[in-house]
Amino acid sequence: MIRFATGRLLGGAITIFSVYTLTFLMVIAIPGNPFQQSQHSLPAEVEQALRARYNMDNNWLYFWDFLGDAVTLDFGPSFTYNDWTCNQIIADALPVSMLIGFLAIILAVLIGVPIGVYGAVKRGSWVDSASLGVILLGISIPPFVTGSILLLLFGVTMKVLPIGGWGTVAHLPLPALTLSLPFAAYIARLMRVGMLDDLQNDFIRTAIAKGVSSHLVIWKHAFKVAFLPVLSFLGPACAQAMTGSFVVEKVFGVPGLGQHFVNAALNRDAGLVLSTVLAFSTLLVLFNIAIDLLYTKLDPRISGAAG
Amino acid sequence: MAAQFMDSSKPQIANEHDLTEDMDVSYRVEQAPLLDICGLTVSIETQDGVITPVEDVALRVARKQTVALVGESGCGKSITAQSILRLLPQPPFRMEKGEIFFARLKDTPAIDLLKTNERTLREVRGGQIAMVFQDPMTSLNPVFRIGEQIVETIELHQGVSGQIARAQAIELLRRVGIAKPEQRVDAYPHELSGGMRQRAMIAMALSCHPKLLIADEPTTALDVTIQRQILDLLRSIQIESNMSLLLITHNLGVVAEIADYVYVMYAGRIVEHGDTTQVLANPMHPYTQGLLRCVPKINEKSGRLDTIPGTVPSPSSFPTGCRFHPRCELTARLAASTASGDGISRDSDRDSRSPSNLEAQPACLRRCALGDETSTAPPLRKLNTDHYVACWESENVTPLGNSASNAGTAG
Repeated sequence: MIRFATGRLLGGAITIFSVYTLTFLMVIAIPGNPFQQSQHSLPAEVEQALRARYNMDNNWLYFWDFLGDAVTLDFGPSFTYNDWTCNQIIADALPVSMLIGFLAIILAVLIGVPIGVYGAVKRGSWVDSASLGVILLGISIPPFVTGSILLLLFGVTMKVLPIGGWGTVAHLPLPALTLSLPFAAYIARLMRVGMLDDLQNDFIRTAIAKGVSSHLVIWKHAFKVAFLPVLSFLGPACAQAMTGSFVVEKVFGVPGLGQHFVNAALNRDAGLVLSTVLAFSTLLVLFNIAIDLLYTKLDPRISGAAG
Repeated sequence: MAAQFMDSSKPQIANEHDLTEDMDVSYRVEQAPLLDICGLTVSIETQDGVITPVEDVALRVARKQTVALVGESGCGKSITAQSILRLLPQPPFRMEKGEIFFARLKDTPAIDLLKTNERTLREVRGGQIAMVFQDPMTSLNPVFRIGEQIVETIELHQGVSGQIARAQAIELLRRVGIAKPEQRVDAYPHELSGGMRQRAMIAMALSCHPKLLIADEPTTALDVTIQRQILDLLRSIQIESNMSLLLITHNLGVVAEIADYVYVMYAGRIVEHGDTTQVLANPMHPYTQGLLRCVPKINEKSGRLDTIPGTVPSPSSFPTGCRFHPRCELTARLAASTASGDGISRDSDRDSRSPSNLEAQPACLRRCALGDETSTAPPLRKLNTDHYVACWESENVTPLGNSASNAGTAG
């Protein structure tokens, strides 16, 4: 188990390094630099001095410099936000995004799993058709539409929840729900397919022949195997949900990390682009490793191979 | 799909007492066999219409008796076996007709398992009737330990749990011949060999002292030496624990060794049944004779094994009349003898089984292919107290000679 975990951590480090390298190449490849973005162009000497200060004339040096600092969790200054370091921006925005994302994933599991299971159990009935319809809607309606509809419904018409902002518990449900729906739909689909497969298995017949109640046959004997595909989806889904969604944050005015992703790229803010990408890929790698470790707990057939 | 196992949506019209009102209750209580399947007909709804893979099957298992149900693959043996505990998903399966009486408790009338409510059925499943399936590789849940799966059954039916149930599980594993049961109890199915898994399945089935064990081809998926061990195990357990055993198999060697009584099934119908020694010594259905000829004989050097020409027809295209007649040696012989004997329809010999030509055929051949006024399929006729056969031409069947003595050598 420990060998497995260290192996995966090492692989994760290589992945993160590759992501960093690719992002860096793209950052230096796109035209423009952070100092040309402001309204008033800087005097030539000032720009010269800034470029020298941040190693921007020497990409090779910048590459290793930034990486070296990043390893010690120092992401340097942001080029667009005065007096803010990237550390401060991430420390400010990431917890907000992680909270919303965490709630969204919980909601997605709570919504998606029952829909998928009951769709499979009542295969071919109206319950199944209804669940398939909900799944289709959840996957195909973009979050800015669901977000706006939810805002109109709960914020404007019923006036039970604030229409935007951040700071109280009341600000949480709408963005979390909006963010969760596509994940919920995807989970429901995986769950339904997994369950349909699993219920065909001989060991389900064995369980029934043992006198296990149909409730337990579904939720104990079939569920544990059928949940495995959902589990492997949850790794990347968690990372994606917790690093923030630009759209959801825009619609609800949530000060999360998602908008920094987009704005940093638009502003050619190399430092912030690299640090947000590093934050995202690190989370992704960590969640995937966590899921893999969980997987070996749930499916004994894998732990044997993993040593 | 599992919803189909929950019959709760359907109202349960008959309870145990209603069922027996119009029957001789005293008969049912006093001499009723443990299991009594009467006129069971099972159909499947498919996209091309309804097919009936099991038709009018009657089968009895007495207390402490070992009954074998034999036939080729696709004869409806497993469907019959799974009907007993209502394991077939409905739909697509439909229990069209018949009753399956099970003498659950002493001194009370037998209950009809096809009509009983879900709760009673769950008590019977695993508690009074246990089942061992064909493929131990897939019949155990891969994500639960062997012990957990046995303990679950014990907890469901015995009302004990925790360490006591676990101790019982270990004891059961030891009883079915698993070495180091204290360790194996915590093994996952994939950590055991095929034979061990089947032993674990048997341990699970035995855990609640069932009155009847249904073993659905328990040795088919195993290699030959393991088959022998599993069979010996089943036999010794059956004797030790005084239970009845319904063994589904296609291996007549197995039948000869352990069955008291045998039912031969072909294309969804019982074609012959009787005391094992009688049926094997003197098989009176051409199908049974054919099956016996296919058993290799250890004391004879023969080149090729006999086979029955053709294959079992699919339920969507069962022949009319006797379902075996297109493959039947006797029918062919009768056709040949009548054709050469009196010249009738000599030139239509090749088409003699197509209905259009049947009018030109002698009465006996028409009967094989179409039946008589009363029924199309031949009824089971009594040959003697313990031997019944369903063949229109049973008086023309020639005895098979010394097959029975050889069948036993082919376990």
